[in-house]
Amino acid sequence: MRDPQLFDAVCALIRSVVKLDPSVPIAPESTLVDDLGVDSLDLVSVFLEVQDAFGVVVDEEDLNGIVSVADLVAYVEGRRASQAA
Amino acid sequence: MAPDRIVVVGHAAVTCLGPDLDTTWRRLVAGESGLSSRPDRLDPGQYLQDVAGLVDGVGPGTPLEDPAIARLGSRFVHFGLLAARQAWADAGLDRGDLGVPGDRVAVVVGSGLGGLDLYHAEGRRASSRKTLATGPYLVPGLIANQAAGQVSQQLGLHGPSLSPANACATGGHAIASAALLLRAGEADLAVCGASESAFTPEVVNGFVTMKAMLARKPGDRSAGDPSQASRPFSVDRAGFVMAEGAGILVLATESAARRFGLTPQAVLEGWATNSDGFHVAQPHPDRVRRCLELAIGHAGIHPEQVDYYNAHGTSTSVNDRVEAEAVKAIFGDRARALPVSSIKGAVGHALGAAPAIEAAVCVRALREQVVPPTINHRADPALDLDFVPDEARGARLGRILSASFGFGGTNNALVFGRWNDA
Repeated sequence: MRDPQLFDAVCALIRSVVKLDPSVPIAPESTLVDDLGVDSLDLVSVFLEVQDAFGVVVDEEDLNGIVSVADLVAYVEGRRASQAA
Repeated sequence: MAPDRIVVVGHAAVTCLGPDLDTTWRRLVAGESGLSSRPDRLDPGQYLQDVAGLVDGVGPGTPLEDPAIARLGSRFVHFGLLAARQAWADAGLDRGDLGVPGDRVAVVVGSGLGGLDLYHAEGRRASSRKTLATGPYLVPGLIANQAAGQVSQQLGLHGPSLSPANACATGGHAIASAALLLRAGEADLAVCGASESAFTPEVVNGFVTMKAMLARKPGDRSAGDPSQASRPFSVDRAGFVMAEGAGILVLATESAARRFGLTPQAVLEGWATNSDGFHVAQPHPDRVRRCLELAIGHAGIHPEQVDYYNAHGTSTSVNDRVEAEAVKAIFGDRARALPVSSIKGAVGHALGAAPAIEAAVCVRALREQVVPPTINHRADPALDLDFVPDEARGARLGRILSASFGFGGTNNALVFGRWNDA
């Protein structure tokens, strides 16, 4: 994880969207669907929140490859880098 | 054999006077108003009117948000579910051990406008986005049947589900439709009523522009005191004041109530719906009168047996005049002795939810034997009826007629009778 602040920010977005109980921990390897109970509509909400919060455009074609929180953070990092370029 | 009577076994309301019916009723009979100036919520830079009847402290984004529906950001869904949970508990059905099969319970919960608050907020949000994507919970929260959907889902009810959308008569149509389902044997119980919250600049400003809603005006008596904005049947009435909220009844056939050990609180003795077929917004005097007659006839009673008329009474010039004339035509010589009141002076006009809120209040009025007042009243010589001005009144109430009329020319009237086990 290159950017712990980004990880924290993404976790906050996920917590906000799925109203996660504060006692449930989120680790980089936590899977969105199985560990955090993010359903298919929530998943779209999370990606929209990411898009709005970080000013990146999320390509829906890429979403299938994102399983864990770390995947999502890495994706945002990648998009920021490529879209800033 | 006489048809099984339809009885009310639970009733609840969420209004600007309080997040439950007990609070609403207590403040209503004390002559209080739930209306206030709310520039914090209704930015005067965007809204032509910031006096409103808002429900505070419950709903999406509040500490008391219902976690079961936290993803649905439209207020009408939250108010509808909250009122339904309260009515369900009021009936004692939250105990869960009464053996009521979920597939024998109908849900008929409507909304005049649905989740327009969410539509507006999401539209603004999406407009600043780099893509055309819109939040995935927009459509589920916008659709007008989602309050009914969540009542079914959260209470585990799997009978017929309907969501009338009949403007400001919606809640009355929902109750009448539920009664029809019970009478037809489609269900044993019904959770019915309506929910509304449609505060967007487009809706508020549209009502003001069409002169249905009270405009912000320096000389108006509401300018110094927002609680005086809604004044049904008053000589200086100048438009309705918009509100939000929900009202829910739990109805049952009398035989089902007995079978499941539910306690009847009132009897839904009659109901009627009809249509003006006349104008986009103006009521038709003959059809309004006819609707009241139909309800009285359907209840199998004579007008003399009505002890209180709970009015639609929006505080608009035309509606209040047409309604008062209909009452005079039906009740004749007795009209001036009949208590007539509109609670919209206190709770404003919650559009589609209003008839259901008023139905819950009527059930409570029968139980308490008290007529709630029309507050802010200044007599209009042209409308010489007993509007129960400003102070609640104890009365012997056997039957209440409650009516509602909606844009699009849709009318509704309900007759509630005091429960008498004899």
